[in-house]
Formats: sequence, structure tokens, C-alpha cells
Amino acid sequence: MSRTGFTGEQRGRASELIRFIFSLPEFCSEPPLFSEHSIEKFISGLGAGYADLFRYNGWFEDMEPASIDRLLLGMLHSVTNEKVLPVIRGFIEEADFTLFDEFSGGSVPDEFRREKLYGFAETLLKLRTTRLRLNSAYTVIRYGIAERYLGEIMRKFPLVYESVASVNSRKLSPDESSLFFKTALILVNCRYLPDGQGYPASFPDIATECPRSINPDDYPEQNPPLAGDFIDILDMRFRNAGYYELPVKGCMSADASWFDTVRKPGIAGVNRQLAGIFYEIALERNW
Amino acid sequence: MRTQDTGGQAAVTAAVMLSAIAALCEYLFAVIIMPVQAVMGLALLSFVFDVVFTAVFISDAAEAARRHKIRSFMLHGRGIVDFCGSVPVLLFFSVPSVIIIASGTESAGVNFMKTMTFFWSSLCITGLLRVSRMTRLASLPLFSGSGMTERHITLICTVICGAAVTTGPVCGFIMRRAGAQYAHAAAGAIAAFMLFIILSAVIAIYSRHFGNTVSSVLDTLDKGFRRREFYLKVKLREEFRDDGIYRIAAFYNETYLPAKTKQNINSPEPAAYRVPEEEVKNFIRNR
Repeated sequence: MSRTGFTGEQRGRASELIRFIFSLPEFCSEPPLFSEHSIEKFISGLGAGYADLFRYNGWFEDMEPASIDRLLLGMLHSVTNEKVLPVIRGFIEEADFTLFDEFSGGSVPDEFRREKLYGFAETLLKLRTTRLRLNSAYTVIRYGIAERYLGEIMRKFPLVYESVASVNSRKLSPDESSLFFKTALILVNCRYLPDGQGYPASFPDIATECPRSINPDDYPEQNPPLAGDFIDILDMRFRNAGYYELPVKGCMSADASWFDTVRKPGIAGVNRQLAGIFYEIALERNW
Repeated sequence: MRTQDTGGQAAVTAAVMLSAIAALCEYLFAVIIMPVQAVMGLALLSFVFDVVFTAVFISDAAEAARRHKIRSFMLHGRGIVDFCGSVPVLLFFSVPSVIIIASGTESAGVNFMKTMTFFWSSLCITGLLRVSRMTRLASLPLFSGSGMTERHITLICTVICGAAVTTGPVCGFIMRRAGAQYAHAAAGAIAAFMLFIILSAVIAIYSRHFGNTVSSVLDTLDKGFRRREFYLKVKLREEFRDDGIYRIAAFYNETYLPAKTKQNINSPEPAAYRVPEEEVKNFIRNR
């Protein structure tokens, strides 16, 4: 029996069951954190259904529903972490964070920053309030969304790129801006932590360094989108909406659909000018 | 062009039906050996109809061009069938026949006209093309009721006409080779061959059209209305925007989806998929 109080067989069966549900068509194409949310609702809502569900082959016999809950939910989180953390870790391990020296007032070893940022991502995954919020950063990193749009914005809207990729008067190159925004999408979740606890030292405060444009709807020419708008729009894009790798028959492409919807009046918190640019790019590239 | 008044509809219906009946009688008279005057009279009547339908086609095409809809008229409307059922028949069969009848003497020009009508007759498509004018009836509110029905019926008719016209020369060749002795076998082979071509064309062309313009739109709307997390827009096709189904799709895209997206963005958590309990039960039962 492990320190969690479950036998190896019980843990093995829980793992098999959770992985099986993840492999169902409804879940295999969804972001792991969203699938986890659905499976969590299923497990928590089983209630009296436990007896019926586990009456075959002696699954979890002699276990109380509360224990089965604890076992399955623990296994669910662990399987999700197995899918999410490698993506975040891969990004952090490959990144060159020396760029952030310019924002933190001194040279800091990359290893230190890697450790801090990874620890911060783990903290976000530990808390229920912040866990789901990490989906935006996960999706943007996993599918290279930031570099995709930054490249197109630089090519088609150079003035907007200059404005978006300027942080604290420093103009970022395409590689730097991609790294900066991916990191920012992880860091921006500190707003959901109690009193911003655990914010990794040696990284700039995103809220201060990346302002948003003021009154973008009234004078779009005088108020080009800023770095904060870019972070916000990507954060909102994948906060509660999944990612479609392939086009769906009869539908507009996923990004074009989403950005076209939010570029219209009535959706607060989105820079409509930037949403329009994203829409134009997504429509052209069929993203 | 949609004829709205009842008198106009009756006139179009009468002209189409008379023209088709005249075409059928022309063939019948040739088989049952009627007096030359009767055959010539029918040929002249058919010539008049050919002139009328050519004029109507030119007028419809000009109107479509004026409205910048010529492409849509030819490809998605009945333009192609109207063209085939009027202009080529008039130029390659009716006009030469009338010239031959009117001239009454031999000359190089008349001989050329005879060669042309002989070649055209050997294709065995004059009657098919004249009867194909019945497709025009699909555009009458009396028969179709709505623009969408008109378009679908027109497409089915076009596909069938296309298939029948394609089989015309083949059937003619089979009949000539078979001669009177094997007429039954030839007729059976022709009927089977025509059905084969017609079914192949309907399945290959119409089913794809129906899938793209009806089924996939309905599937998208079904997902969009039922599932909270589904945010893809229906791909609207400008040429079909007056169809009832596309009007609903436009409402979904412009009104329903923005409201749903706004709600999703502001929601603290994403939508949850339903875990198929029966599949989970089967998995446990089979372990």
C-alpha cells in the first residue's frame, strides 16, 4: 500500500480507467485541462452511480465512494499533469531567458529563471482556481500560436508589430517577442493567485511592463495595440475555447471564427483592432 | 429570373410543355412515317420554340450579367441547361433545317447544311436538349415554392439532363449497330446504360452538393446550438445567402454565436463534455 493509502492494483485500475476516458473521441482532441474538467464533473457527479459502475470484476470493491473519488481525482490530475507539464517544461528548458535581464535590472543565471518559472507553473497547476487558466499558455506554447501571429503581423502590419513588440521602450525581435509573450502568458496567471503569491523572482511584472492601449475604439490610428493587448487576446482566446488542429467541414476555420466574433462590438476586454488583424490573418491562412 | 405572376407562369409552363411535346412528336412522326408536310410543320414549330428559348436565355443571361451574377447563373442556376437547350440546337439543327426546307434546291451551302444536320442528328441529342427545357419549370414558384428548392431541383435536373445527353450518342450508336432484329436487346442495354450514367452522376455530383450546402450547415448549426464550447462559424456562401438554411446560419453567426462567446469568455470555467457512461461501464466489464 502506498503512502496515499491505495494499493498498487487500485492505482493501476484507476490509471487504466482515466487513460481510457482520455482516449475517447470526445476527449482525445480536446486540451487536457478541459478534458480533465469534464471527467472531474463526471466523477464528482457519480454519487450513487458508483455501485452500478463498478459492480463488475471486483473493481474498487470494499472501497467507500469518498475513497474512490479521492483515488480517481488524484489519478486524473496526475494523468493531466503528465500531458501538460512536458509541454511547459520543454519550452522552459529550451528558452534563453537572458532577454529578461534587461527588465529585471541585473544579470540572472538562466538556470535560476528556469527553476523559478517551472515552479510557478507547478504552483498554478496545484490550485483549483488557477489550474484551468493555464490552458491558454499551454495551447499557445504547444501549437506555436504566438510566433505564428507575430510573424504574420510583422509581415503584413509592420507598424502594429512595432507597437505590440515594444516592451518598456525596448523593441523585441521576432524570436524575442515570441519568447516574451509565451512567458508572459504563464506569468499573467498570477492575477488569479491569492495576493499574487509565488510570483517568480527575476521576471518582470507583466501588468506594469505590458500596458494596454487606451480607448482603442475611439482613435484606432492614434492608439495602436500594445503588448498587453496581445497577451490579453491570446489569453482570452484559449481560456474557455478549445483548439482545432484540422478544419471542420462546412465551418470557417477556428481562429477566424473566434476572432471574427470578438472583433464586433459588445465583447469587453478585447482590443477590437487587434482582433480584426488576427481575424484577417486567420482567414487568409485558414487557421 | 423568377416569374412571379400566375399568367406568366402559365405561359412559361405552356411554352415549355408544348416545346417538349413537339420534340417528342417529331421523333414519333419520324418512326410511324407521317406525311412530309406534317414533319415539316413540326420542324418549323420546333424552330419557333428554339428561337423563343434562345431569346429568353440571352435575356436571362444579360439580366444576370447586369446584376453581376452571370457566374452564379451559369454554374449554380439553370444557365447551363438553358444554354444547351437553346443556342446549340438553334444554330446546329433548327436553322440549317429551315434553310434546307426553304431553299428547296441543291447548292454548296445547302449541302453543307445537310452535312451539319446529319452529323448533329447522328448524335441523337436534339430531342433530349429540347425536352431538357422542362428544367425551367423548377424555377416557377408554382412548382418549387422557394429559392432553395428551386436550386436543388434545378441541380438534380441538370445532372440528369447532363447524364442523358452524354448517353445520347452512345445509345444512337448501339441502335444503329443492333438494327431492327436486336431492337429489344439494344433497348434493354440503352435503358441500363442510361440508368448507370444517371445514378453515377446524381451520386457523384448531387450528393456532394447536398452535403456541402445542406447537411454540413445543419450539422454545424446543431453543434452550435447544443454545445456550449462549440464556437465555429458556419461558412456562408454568398451565392446561396437567400436560402432559408443560410439565413438561419447568418443569424447563428451574427447574433447567437457572439452572445454565446461573450458568456463563455466571462465564465470562470469551460464547458464540460458528457462522459459516455455506457462506454466506461463496458470498459470496466471487459477488463
